[in-house]
Amino acid sequence: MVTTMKTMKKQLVRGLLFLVCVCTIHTAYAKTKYDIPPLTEDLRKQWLTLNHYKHTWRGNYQNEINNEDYFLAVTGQIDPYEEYLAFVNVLQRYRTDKNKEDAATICRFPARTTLLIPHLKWFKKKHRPKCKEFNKLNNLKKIKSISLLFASGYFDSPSSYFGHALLKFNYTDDVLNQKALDASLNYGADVTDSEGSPFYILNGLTGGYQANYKRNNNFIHSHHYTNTQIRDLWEYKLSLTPAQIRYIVEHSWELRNAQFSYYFLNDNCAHRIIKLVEMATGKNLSKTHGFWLLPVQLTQHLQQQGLIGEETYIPSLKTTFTEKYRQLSKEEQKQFIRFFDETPQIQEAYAQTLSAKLLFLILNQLDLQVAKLTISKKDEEALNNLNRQRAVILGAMLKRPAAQLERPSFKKKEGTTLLNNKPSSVIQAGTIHRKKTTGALLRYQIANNDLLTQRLPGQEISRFIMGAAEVEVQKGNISPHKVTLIDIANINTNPLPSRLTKEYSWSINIDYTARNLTCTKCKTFGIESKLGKAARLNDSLAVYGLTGGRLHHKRTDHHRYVSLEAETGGVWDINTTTKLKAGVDISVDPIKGNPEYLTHGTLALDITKNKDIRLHIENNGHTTAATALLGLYFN
Amino acid sequence: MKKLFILAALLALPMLATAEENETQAKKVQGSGPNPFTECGIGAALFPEIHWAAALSNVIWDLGSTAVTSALSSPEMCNEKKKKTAKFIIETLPQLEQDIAAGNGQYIAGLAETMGCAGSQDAIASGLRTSYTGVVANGDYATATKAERATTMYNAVKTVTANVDGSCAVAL
Repeated sequence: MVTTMKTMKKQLVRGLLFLVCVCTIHTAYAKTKYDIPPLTEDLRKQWLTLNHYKHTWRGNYQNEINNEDYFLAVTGQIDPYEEYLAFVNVLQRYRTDKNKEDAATICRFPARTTLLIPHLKWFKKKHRPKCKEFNKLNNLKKIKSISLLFASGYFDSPSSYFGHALLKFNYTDDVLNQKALDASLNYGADVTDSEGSPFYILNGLTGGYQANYKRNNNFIHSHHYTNTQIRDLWEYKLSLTPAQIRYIVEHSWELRNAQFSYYFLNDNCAHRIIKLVEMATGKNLSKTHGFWLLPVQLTQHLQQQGLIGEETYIPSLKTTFTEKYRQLSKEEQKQFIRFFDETPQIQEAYAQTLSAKLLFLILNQLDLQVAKLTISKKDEEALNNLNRQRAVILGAMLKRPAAQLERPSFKKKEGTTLLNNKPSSVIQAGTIHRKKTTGALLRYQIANNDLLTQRLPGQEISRFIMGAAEVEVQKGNISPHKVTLIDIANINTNPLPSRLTKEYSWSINIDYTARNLTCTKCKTFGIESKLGKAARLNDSLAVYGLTGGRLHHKRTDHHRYVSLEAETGGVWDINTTTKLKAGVDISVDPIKGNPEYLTHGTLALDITKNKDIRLHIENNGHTTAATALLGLYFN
Repeated sequence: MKKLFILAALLALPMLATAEENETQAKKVQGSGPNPFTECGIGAALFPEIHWAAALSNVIWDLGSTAVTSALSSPEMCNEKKKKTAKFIIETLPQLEQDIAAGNGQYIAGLAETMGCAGSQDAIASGLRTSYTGVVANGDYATATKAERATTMYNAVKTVTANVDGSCAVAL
C-alpha cells in the first residue's frame, strides 16, 4: 500500500514536471511565428496510433516498437508528447534554415508530416523537403491501388498451414519495368533457430524473435511462393481512397526502421499487415474472438468491411502441373511416365520424340522435384540426377524452332473462391445417441479445416485443427468427450506414381479421446500418426488408406500403451454444398491381436456460409452410435 | 617494441591490399566490371546456403572479405542494376531457362525489365535461345551446380545484351 502511494506520488510529480515542461516549450515557441499546434483530442489519437503507443493500466504509455532509435526524443518510445514536440521542433528548424539533417529526418517520417500539415499554419505541402530516396523507391503518385496477398501453407509443411499475408503496391500502367520494382511489403520475423526446434517454437510463441517490415521485388517474391515453396497465392485488390493509399505507403516507409516482437499466434504477419490497413481506414480488421489471428481471417474481415474490390488466384507450380497433367490423354500420361522410367542413355533420344506439351510438363515435374529437394533435404545425388534430366529436356526443346513450342494451357476451375470459405472457428451443438440413451454434445474448434470443408481450387483434401474441445451432457452430468491439441491430415491425391513423386498421405494428432463413440470408458491421452496413399477416382471422389499407431498414456480394456491404427475410406463431393465421408477404421493391440472394426459415415450439409449440419453414424460390430450437430462458424 | 612493429605491420597488410584493390577496380570501366555472383559478394550475401567459394574457381573470392566489401562498395563496379539482374537470374533460374527454351515468357520479360531493356525483350529472348543451345549441348551443363548455371546465364545475358541493346550492356 505504502509502495503504491509512493509510486502514485512519483507519477504525479513527473506529470506536473511534464506539464510545466510542455507549457514552457509551448510558450517559448508560441512567441515565434512557428507555433506548436495543441494536441487536440483528434490529433492526439491519430498521433498515438501512428506511432504505435499503447496506454497501459498504470496510466502511462508503452510502445509496440522495440528499438529506441526509431524515435527522435530520448524518451520518445514511451512519451508521445516528447516525441511530438521533438518532431515539430525538426519541422520548425527545417522551416527556418532548411538544413540537410532535418530534411533527412522529415523524409524518414512522411506519414507524420502528412498528419501534421493540416494543423500547421507555417508548414504546408510546398515546404516539404524533396525526399529523393522515398520518391524513387515508392513513386507514390503512380500507385493506383494496394492488394493484400494471401499465400497458402508451404508444400508438405504443417507448421506453415497458417498461411502468410503481405501487401502489394500496384502501379499505373505507364510505369515502366514494373517487374523490377520492390512493390511488395512483407512482415516477418528474424528467425535464428531452425524450424521445428524447441527454441523455434518457444521463441515463436513468446515473442522471442524480432520482426520488421521489408520491401521486396514482388515478381521474384511471388515466384518464390508459387515455384519454390509451392504455395498458391490469392490477390485481393483493396478498395482504398488515395488518402488511405498514401497513409499505408508513407507509414510503411517509416516502419522500415522499426523492430517489433513477433508472436506466432496473434502478433504475426496477419496482424501487422492488416494493422496498416486498419490504421489507414479506421476500420477494425484485426478483431478476433480468440488470442490468435489467422491470415485467412483477414480476407473475411476485409470482405465484411467492403474493402475487397477484386480477387485473383495465382496457382502454384504444383497446382498448374496437376491440372495440366489431368488434362492429358491416357496415352500421353503413359508417354510422360515412360520418360522417367527410361535409362539416361535412352532418355535423350526419347525426349526428341515427345510433343512440346509433354516436354513442358516433364520440365515442370522436374522443377517441382528440385523445389522439394531444396525445401526439405539436400540430396546431392538426387539433385544431380534431376538436373541431368532437365538438361535433356531443355536440349530437346532448344533443338526445335520456338514457334513449335506451344505451352499447355491451364484452366482455372470456376466457382471456387477463398471468399466463400467458412470463418476460422466453429461451435457445434447437437445430440449424441448410443446404447438407447440420448445426450447433448457441444463442441468448439479452432481452425475449421477438416476433410469435409470446402477446399480451395487445387487444394488437396486436408484437415488442420489447432485446438478443439468437446463435452457431453448425459442426465445432467457434463463430461469431457474429446480434447484435441493438434490434428493435421494431408490426403495426397497426386496423379503421378509415387515412385516419381515420393509423396504420401499422412496424418498426425495429439488428443484426449475415446477409440470411438460407443466406448465411454476408454479415453486416453495420446499421440497418433499414420502414413498411406490416396487416389482421386474422378473430380468428385477420392479414396485413401492410412496405417500407423498411437501411443496412449494408460491402458484400457482394449489395448495397452500402444495400439496399431489403420483407416480406409473415401470422400465424395456430392455437390458444392454436400459432402460424404465413409470408411472403416481398425484398431488393434499388437500383443493381444484383437482387431476392432469401426464402420462410419459422415454427411456434411452447408446451409449458409456460416452454418452447416453434420450427421454422423458409426458401428463397431456390436453397437451403433450417432451424432447430429449444427455448426456455427465465426472469427 | 620490435614485436609491436611486427604486429602493426601485420595489421596494416590487409589495408594495403584493400587500397590496391580499390585502385585496380577504379581503373575498370562499366561493362567490364566483376561478375556479381563471385566478385560483388552478393551471391554469398543473398544465398548463404550455396557454397560459392567451393562452387566456383574464384581467385578474388579467395582473397577474403576485403575484396568482397570493396567490390560491393564500388557502385560503378557492382551497380544496382547488376546486382538486381544477378538476383533475378539466380532466384528464377529454372523458369528463366524454360522461357529461354520456349523463346518467350514472363521471366524473360522480367529479366529484360530488370535490366531496363523491356523494348528489346524479343531480341534478347532470341539471342539467349541461340546462346543457350550451345550451353545446354555442352556436356558440363548437366552436371553444373546452380551457382555455375547462374554464372553461365549471367555471362550469356551480358553478351546478348551487348549485341542487342547497347544501353543495357553498359549497365552490366
